[in-house]
Amino acid sequence: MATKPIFVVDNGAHMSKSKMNTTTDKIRVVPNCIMKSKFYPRRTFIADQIDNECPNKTSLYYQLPFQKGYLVDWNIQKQVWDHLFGKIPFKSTGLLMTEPYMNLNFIRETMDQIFFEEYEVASFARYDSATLSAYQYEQDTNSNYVLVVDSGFSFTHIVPFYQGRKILDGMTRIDVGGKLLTNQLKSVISYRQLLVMNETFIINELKENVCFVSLDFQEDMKKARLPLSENPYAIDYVLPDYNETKQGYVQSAVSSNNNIDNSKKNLTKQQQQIVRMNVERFTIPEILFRPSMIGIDQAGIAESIYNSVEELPEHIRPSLYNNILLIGGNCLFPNFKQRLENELRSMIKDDYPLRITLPEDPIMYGLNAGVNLTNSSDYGNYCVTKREYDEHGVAICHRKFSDNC
Amino acid sequence: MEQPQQRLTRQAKENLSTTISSSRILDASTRARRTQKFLESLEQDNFHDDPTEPSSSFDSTLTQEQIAKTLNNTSAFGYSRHSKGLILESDEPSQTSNSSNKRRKIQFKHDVFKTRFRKNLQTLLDEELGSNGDKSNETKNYFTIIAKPSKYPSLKLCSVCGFTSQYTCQICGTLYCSLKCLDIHKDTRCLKHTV
Repeated sequence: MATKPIFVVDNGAHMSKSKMNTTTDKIRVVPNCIMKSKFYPRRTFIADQIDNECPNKTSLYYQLPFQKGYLVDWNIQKQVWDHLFGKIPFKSTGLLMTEPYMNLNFIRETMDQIFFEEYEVASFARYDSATLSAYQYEQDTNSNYVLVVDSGFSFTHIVPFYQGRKILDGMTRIDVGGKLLTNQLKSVISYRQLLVMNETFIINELKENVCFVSLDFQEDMKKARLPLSENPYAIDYVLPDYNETKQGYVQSAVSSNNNIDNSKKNLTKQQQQIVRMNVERFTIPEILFRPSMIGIDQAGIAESIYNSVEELPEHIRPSLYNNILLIGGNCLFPNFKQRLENELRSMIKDDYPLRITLPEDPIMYGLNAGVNLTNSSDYGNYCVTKREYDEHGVAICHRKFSDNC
Repeated sequence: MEQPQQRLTRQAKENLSTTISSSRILDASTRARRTQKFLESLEQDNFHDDPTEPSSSFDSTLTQEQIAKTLNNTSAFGYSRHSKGLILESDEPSQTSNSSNKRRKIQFKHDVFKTRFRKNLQTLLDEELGSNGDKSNETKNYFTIIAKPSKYPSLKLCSVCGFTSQYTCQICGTLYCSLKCLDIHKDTRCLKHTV
């Protein structure tokens, strides 16, 4: 049976990932925002135009359609979607779109209306990323229970599932996400070294390149105090100036100190802007595990997982701890999974098994799960076709997609 | 006789001002408000103005008072209150030349288009869940699924150098680790960009 063409989009607050389910092309990842650059004062860059048409990425002005994780600015989002969808013939193509958790009904209805009435898609489905990931996980491992930990740009959610349906009692949200980490890193660097408050793009790249999760915080603090020659963590990060260096790169801190006598290197060193990264490398991602350190009165990821599962009946707890799935961009920090295992292992009962799965690509996992869902034989049960929408209106979307809430 | 008296009063005034500033200790509610402001600033997308907005560029047609006004509306770090949406162009009183009026009119229409067809997340939440967030509601909603506070004590890091901190600034409550860091904090940040 030929599968219907369906366009699958993981509409995140930071990046929008999309793929057509019938092709085997690469996933298209574009920034989900509009950017303006002071070097090009008369135009705006929509989504991935920034990569192709704007070589200098300093002081980019961002306009995001998402605010605190929810889609509020439809103007901007429509521009990104128009750019993304391009010439897809929606009359014969369906659409699978992701939404955030606990999405507001106003946003849901507006989304349903936009896709059926303006874009006129053949079929539409609206799920959150954890539901799709849980579906994929249950297909792969045949287990009834999954505990999905989605740590993304805007926030972190912990969502337990039973047979594909959310267990609402165990759902938890921590208001710490990649955006907060980048902003905190910007304010720390701006205070201590170089004013970078406007350089979201560059500092985001810096965070992704050098930050890691500490496994033993006290030990790492001690090591970070050592002098440069013995310090395993201190590095110099050369900021890109988009004339010679298009991307920031890491330079060993010791070598940049030793090259004082070589005059030619001194000249280039003066032209480069260098940020010394030491403690910040592991104290920034520490915010995910201890949000109280910047004043957010919520427990970190490990403790929140424990609290969530404690809300649920005792007989399902071992199954949940045995099937923890990590998705989202923040899971790519080195040592993230190991740290989570260490912290959880010390909190939960000895006889409970603990197994955490970190997929190869936590960012694309939800999208690939969506593609697999669209290729399944009973996809018709999961989506709303245009005919059904014409007959019943917005209510049917609300009914069909809210069983999972 | 005049001069020694003047010198004395100026000296006394200096002493008075230092005692006033050092005795100004922020109370708990002000500190809480400051951390709230800080957390809100972590939610911001941008810390600078829109480069394509015509009002953000200084040109020669701006009068002295317009320039002074824009400078007043920027805080110490250079964040303009325009970009935070705190000032609508129409709020500012009218000015001199016709061309600036026309520019402001276009600016005003532009701002209205931007602000009217865009509902704030706070507005949406209020509409959906009631003004107090329906926290007593049995079913799970946006507010009830927030993570509970941590059982463990918070991690204290020095705001100046980033290492572990043991002491708090008497005046404003920020953490520091050593006297050197305290001096830097007092010179640069203590009460400098206040709420």
